Amino acid sequence: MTLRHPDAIGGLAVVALGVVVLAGALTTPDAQFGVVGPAVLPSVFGILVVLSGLWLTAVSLRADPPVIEALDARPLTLAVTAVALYFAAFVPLGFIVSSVAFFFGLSWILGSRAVLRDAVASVGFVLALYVLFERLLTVDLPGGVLPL
Amino acid sequence: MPRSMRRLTALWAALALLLAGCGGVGSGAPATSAPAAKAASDYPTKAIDVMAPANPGGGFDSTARIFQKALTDDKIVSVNVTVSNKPGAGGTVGMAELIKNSAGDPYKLIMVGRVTVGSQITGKTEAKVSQLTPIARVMAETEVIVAPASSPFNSIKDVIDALKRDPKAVKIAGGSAGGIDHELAALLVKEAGKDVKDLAYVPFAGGGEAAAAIIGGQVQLGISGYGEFKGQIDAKQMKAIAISADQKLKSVSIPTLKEGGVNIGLTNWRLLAAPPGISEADTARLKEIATKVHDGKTWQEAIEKNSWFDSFTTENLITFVATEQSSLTATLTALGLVK
Amino acid sequence: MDMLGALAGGFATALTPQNLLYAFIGVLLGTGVGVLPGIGPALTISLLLPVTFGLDPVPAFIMFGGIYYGAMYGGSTTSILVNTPGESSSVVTAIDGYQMAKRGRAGAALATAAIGSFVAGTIATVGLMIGAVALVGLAVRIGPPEYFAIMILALLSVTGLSGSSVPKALFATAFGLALGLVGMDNQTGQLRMTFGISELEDGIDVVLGAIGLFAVGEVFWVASTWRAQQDEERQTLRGPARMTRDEFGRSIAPWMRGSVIGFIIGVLPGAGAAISSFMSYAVERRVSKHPLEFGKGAIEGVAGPEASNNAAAGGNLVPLLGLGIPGSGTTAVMIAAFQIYGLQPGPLLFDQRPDLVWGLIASLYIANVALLILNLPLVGLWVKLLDIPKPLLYAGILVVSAVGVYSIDRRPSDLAVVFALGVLGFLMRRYDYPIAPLLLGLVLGPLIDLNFRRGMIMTDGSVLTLLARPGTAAILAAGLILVLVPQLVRLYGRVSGRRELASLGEIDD
Repeated sequence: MTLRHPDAIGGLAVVALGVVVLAGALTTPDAQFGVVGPAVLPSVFGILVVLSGLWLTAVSLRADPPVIEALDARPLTLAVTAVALYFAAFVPLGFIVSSVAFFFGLSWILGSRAVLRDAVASVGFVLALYVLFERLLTVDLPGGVLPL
Repeated sequence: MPRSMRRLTALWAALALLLAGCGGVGSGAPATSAPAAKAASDYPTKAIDVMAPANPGGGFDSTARIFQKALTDDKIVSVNVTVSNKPGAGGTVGMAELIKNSAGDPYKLIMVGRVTVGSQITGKTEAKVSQLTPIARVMAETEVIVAPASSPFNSIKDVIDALKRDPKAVKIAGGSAGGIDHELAALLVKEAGKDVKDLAYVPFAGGGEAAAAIIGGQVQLGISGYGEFKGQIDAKQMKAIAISADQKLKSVSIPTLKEGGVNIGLTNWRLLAAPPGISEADTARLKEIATKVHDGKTWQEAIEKNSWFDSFTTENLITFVATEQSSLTATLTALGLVK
Repeated sequence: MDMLGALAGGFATALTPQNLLYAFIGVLLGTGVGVLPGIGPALTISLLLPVTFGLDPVPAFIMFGGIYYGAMYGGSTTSILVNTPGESSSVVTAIDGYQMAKRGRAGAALATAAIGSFVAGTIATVGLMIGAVALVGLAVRIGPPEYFAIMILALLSVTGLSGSSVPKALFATAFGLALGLVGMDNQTGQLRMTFGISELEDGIDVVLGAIGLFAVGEVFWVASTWRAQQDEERQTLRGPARMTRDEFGRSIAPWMRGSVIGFIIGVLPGAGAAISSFMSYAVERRVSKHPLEFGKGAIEGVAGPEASNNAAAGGNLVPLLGLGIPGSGTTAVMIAAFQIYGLQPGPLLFDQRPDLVWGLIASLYIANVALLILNLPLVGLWVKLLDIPKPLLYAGILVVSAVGVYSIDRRPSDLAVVFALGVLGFLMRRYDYPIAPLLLGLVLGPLIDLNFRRGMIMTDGSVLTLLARPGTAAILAAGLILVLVPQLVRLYGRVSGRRELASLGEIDD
């Protein structure tokens, strides 16, 4: 890392987030109702976020950089991708297909290599959840590609 | 692999326990999803959801849930019927979502009302009641004006007199801004000859939430649908000052505004609607189902119990909504609630 | 007063085999949905309403009471075991509960949560029985300005969650508050901070925050420290599943304090269990003899909040039965259920349907005992969940989370929000930003906004009048004391506690 302190970057990112909040707050149309309009408190909170970011940056410039553990980039990237794919596929592929694939995939990413056991566990677990939610609690889970 | 098998057993044991708990309910209660008895039209073939665009326990919610109960108990449909709550801004939050996400889906119904039309006008929201496919105007209900039990107000005349002295001193609690509660509050201030700008209206998510503030004397007046305050009025925790409808309630002797010498007549209505883009066949079928609900025992009992007015109709609803929209716009503009 | 007679009648109602069965089903189901992240008691009762149409109201409400109490029991389980709160009211439990689990004290954490829930549930039920009608007189005196002050007080409890960096905690809190206001304004219908994304119009549910920041963030964290986790799994610490004498002794006072705080907050219709759990945590940290252990596995940080959220559930039934008004999502659904049965909840119900009211109260006692009997042995079973290989455990948690999120509104875009919050949660964890304050902000944001704006209408736009109301002033003064004293303690602690912090860190990693 060439950065002296991760909080310096973090602080600036926080300032940016605060600006986004403020932008959202200040573009709220006034409802012309009541004493305090809908934009007031969001603006206050946005300003607080910006201030916290500036504060954080200021503090970090004076502090020694901490030791941050190295990232295990490969499993992290794979896990983030797997979750993103799972959530994206949840409705189009349906609960059962996407969940079984994800359960199995994430187990593998996180280091499990007992392929047969994981396959059995993923199918069994997902089917049990399906029965619990869809059949007993009447939550309408997406059927997706399966003809349910 | 005995070790991993043992681990799996732990997982299954936990899950089996959960399932056992739920299975008990499933089998201990009457089955709600018996196979379809007849299939004259193919609607409905799967679960129907009725959205109540408000918190549980409020007017929209109880109307939706009684509709749900009627569909099931009077055996009008054999599929599951669920009610989902999506509170906010007089129903416009839920309506906006329904229009956006469920267009063309006849299994996603919604209960809207005059409040929703009012909020869409004052809030200038994109979603409009007129975009929905109306199924039936299911009922009408009077508004009621209440005061804390210890209030000096005993009649609507006392209220108008107080508003004449200082409208700002009379804080009025009710539902979302721009809804019928707010409108009635503004009409009262106008009736007292004062500028609506001086109305001190404190909006809550619904009558239930406003009730605590009214009972505790946090505000001087409360306005909501009669059904939302009925319990507190009966328990004498609130004093009913007047109802807004022209017609008196059957079982209760609360004076109407007109009887109190105030020339205001307001009645709230609720409308069962489907999302935009529903086929004519499904619309017709839904109207038929709604009519069966109305004619059934559950609904008729609810009319009696909740002191609703029976204004059920499935006819000319598009015109009805359009008329309400334009007359409300005119009223709210005249009151200065829309600029 | 013939309260005891009425209660005896209530027990006679509740102890019929049929009603006992429904109480039992209720507590089982409640524990189950409490454990499952995302799905909570309000949603469960709402889903089960149609099933109960065919029942008499007495067994139905006995079952609902069991679900409500049971969910409060179950919510702590996943907080402690896998750092994933089952309910928003168990968010704060994750902080110390998960640390305890990491040190092999999961059994003790679960046990203190279960016994604390029992103590609190019993105290709250007694309070409900004695005070339902009297207490509501007090509760209605609390208006929007006072609620605003209470929310500010709750916000101050963030100082107990702030970790080592004040600006980071300020960021987490303020950003959480802002996130809580995303969506359509409840008062005026204006869109706030949605940036034209229609999926945000409905706002960000607290459950999405809890699942995204905790469950998803945790999985990313586990993935990013893959090698370290492999080592850790091999040497998972195992301690006795029961509490030690010392742990039990340290739990007693927090159970009591948590019960009182929870019940008071629960009685107020505008607050709630999540807020009471945060407040209880702040109080425990403030009065503890071991303030430096907080955040690293202090049993008080589990005992207090878990007692308080149960007591809040009992307290919430006070405005329900005494006024017929909702104090939480769950009691709101119960009001809906009353209406479907053609009943008006409120004081009249005590006269009109004493069998129902007293049967419900009696069944809450029964539910409490049943929950203790059910949950203490379950502690051993839950701890065994940790024997499941970690990859499978985390995969299972995320699948359950996805279903939980989806079941709230059946809306795929909620999953996108959860994903984004998961990335945020991971980054915050990696760079040592406290996460709980963000959740607290998410809970409090809309409440502060609504009550401030309502209050300002009531005081004709004068902040001074708002703050000078006796109730508001008293609450805010209490808050100042609460925040100033621990700040001084903390300042002292930070100077003298560095070494302890550093050495504990070594053991954990």
